[in-house]
Amino acid sequence: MEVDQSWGQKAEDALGLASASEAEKLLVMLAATFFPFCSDSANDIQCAAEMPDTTTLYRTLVEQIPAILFTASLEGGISEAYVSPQIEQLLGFTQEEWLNDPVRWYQQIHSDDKARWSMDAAQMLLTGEPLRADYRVIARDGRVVWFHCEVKMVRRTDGRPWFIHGAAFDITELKRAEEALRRAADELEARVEERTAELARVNAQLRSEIAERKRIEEELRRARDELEIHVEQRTVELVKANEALLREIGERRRTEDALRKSEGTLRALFDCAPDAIIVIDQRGYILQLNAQAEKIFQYGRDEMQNQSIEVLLPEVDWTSWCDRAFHLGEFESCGQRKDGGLFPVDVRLSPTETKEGRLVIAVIRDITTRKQSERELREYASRLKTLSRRLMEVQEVERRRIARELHDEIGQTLTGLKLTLEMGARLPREKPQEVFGQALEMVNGLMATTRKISLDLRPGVLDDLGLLPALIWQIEHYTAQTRVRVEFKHHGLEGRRLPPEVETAAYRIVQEALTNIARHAQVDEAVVQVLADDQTILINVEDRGVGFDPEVVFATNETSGLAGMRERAVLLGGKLTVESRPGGGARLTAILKTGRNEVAS
Amino acid sequence: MVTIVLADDHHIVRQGVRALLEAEPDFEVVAETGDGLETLQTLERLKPNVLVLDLMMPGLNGLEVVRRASRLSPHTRTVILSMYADEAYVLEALRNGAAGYVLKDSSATDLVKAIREAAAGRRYLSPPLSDRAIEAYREKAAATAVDRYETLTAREREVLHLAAEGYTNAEIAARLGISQRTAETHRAHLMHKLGLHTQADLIRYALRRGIIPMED
Repeated sequence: MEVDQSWGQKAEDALGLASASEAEKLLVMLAATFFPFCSDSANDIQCAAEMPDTTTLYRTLVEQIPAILFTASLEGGISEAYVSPQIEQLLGFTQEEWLNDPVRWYQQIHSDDKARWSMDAAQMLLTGEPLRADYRVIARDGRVVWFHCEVKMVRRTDGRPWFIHGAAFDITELKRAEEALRRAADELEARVEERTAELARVNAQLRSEIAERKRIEEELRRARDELEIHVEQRTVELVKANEALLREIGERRRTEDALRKSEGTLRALFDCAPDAIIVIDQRGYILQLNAQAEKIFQYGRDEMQNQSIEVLLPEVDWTSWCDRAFHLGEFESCGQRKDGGLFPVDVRLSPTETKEGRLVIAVIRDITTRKQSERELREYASRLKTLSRRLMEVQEVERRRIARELHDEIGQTLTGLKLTLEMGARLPREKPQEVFGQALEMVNGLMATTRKISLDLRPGVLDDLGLLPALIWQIEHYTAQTRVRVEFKHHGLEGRRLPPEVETAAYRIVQEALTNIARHAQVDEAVVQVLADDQTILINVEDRGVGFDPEVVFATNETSGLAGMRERAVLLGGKLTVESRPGGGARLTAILKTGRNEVAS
Repeated sequence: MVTIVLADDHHIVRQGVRALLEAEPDFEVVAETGDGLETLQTLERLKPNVLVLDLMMPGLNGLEVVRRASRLSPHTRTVILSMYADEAYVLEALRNGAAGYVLKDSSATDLVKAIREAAAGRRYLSPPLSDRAIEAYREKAAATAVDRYETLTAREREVLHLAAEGYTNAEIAARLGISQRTAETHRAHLMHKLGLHTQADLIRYALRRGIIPMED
């Protein structure tokens, strides 16, 4: 079956079969045009004729397209032969109405589009090219409906135009939208133009304003420059005037200085002197004094002038003093400040004969610091004396104790041993066993006693093994003897040796503190803490016992060993403090320097 | 035969010990020495089985002699003869390489026993010494955690708290009703005790300790 038959051929074949009505033939052709898939059936028109259902099918198809399909014969002008019923829906005319009036279709074309339609149709008829164009058609109710028309011409075999057929699509909505879009675009453009114009106007205005401002600024700048020039001129004048004035003042001052020079030098020396210098007349009234005198007596210079010297040196009996002044060159006395405070002074007197008569120059030195140092020195000496006396006492007590122990314990046992051995020697040869046993027991006792005495004097463990084993040993023995339990905490001592003087001091401080607790604190518990780091060793001994007043204890120099312990700590560049109050336990803290070269000599 | 060098600075002690040891048929005292250095020279020369050593020796401390002896003559076993029953000594001697520790006041048979044990490569401690006592001592001698804060006096603690809160010495003095000088002294002491050097150290310590709150 041929599929590429031309349109004309198909139509002729179809029209050549006279069994169907003219309209139906056209309808079939229309359908074949718009529904090419049906072309097989269209070609087999016989089949179509025998099956009336096919016509119905095509009609249904044609009438359901959302467009108007039409066909028109070209014989005897253009007159509509068929129009699909959609016409009613779109234009308000029924199919019949439309077809019954052969010229209605032309009448209904919008008057503005009629000429165009005629031109387009003529073109199609002449060339046979399909017509594609948009036209306005007036509906029954006067509405304007836009159609897009696709129209084709079909010729007879001899070439004469036979009929046209085509489709008209309602594009009113599209046109309307296009129109709205164009209007919107136009409006936008108009607005843009408007704004552009406005901007141009504003710009022009701004430019003119800026120009104006520049002009004003320029004027202001000129005015300011002029002012500055004025000010500068005035300043230069002023500076010149000032310099002249300064020169004048300087000259005057130099003149005055020259006049004062000799007197000024003396005065300066006078005021620089570290001692108070006061010039007194024969009656003891102050004529002159220096800055130091003001300072140490705290009076103003004017307040002191013409006052009696007795105001400053209240202990001096001027009358007798004046008589003897020439003999008494120097003595210590007591000065009185403006606020009544007294302070020790050293007074030196030099008489001098002047035109105004005999004057006395008194040189007075505040010796408060010296006196204090002297006092401290005295106290230190007294403390040292006390300590050394105590040391000797302690030494004597120790010696007595050792002598007694040697005599009582070792001496007695040795005597016993000697007697035992002598007895053994007199016994028959076969019976010495018992005697030897006794003797051995005595020797063991002697060894123990000797060791105890030696350890009490100085524990070898301190020298041999160091501070930590010595403290452990000491605390064990302390608890055994005194029944005071000691919680011993330490850090930084394990496997470490410190300079011997530090170890000894630390050992003795703990010993003394524990001894004091056993003697006075009335407790059965104490805490010892010893902490050593690179540079220091910190000793802390604490109890919750009856406590005491440290001030009192330290003040009475001869007390226990506290002062001695403090002396030890100070000697090692350290410190020892005691915190306690009656009823509130006691805490002794000592810090010693562990560096050997930091030890005070 | 067990060869023995006898080291003690007291002639009379050496004599006694020698008499005691020579009563044993398998013991031979090959030399006697009277000070530490001489002992070491003798050891190096004779390399005896056993060295009987007094802990307290002139010239060189007995503990030091043990330490060096174990290097100079590794096969020589040392038995310490000592007056001291203190565990500290025993521990130190054992640490330095001694094989036996005999107290001078223990019985003569004890020393003989110690020498035999040592020569056989075993350890011997004469009664009442015991491993348990030594262990107890070792624990005592181990450093304890000591809280430095505990060593501060009540006043120093007050000053620490105020200083950590940023008060100056003058303000601290005013608050505690003490002189500024005293406040300074307290501050110096507490810094010293706590091992602190700068104000920043103090703040860090106070933060770590919770004396001042950690927030920003």
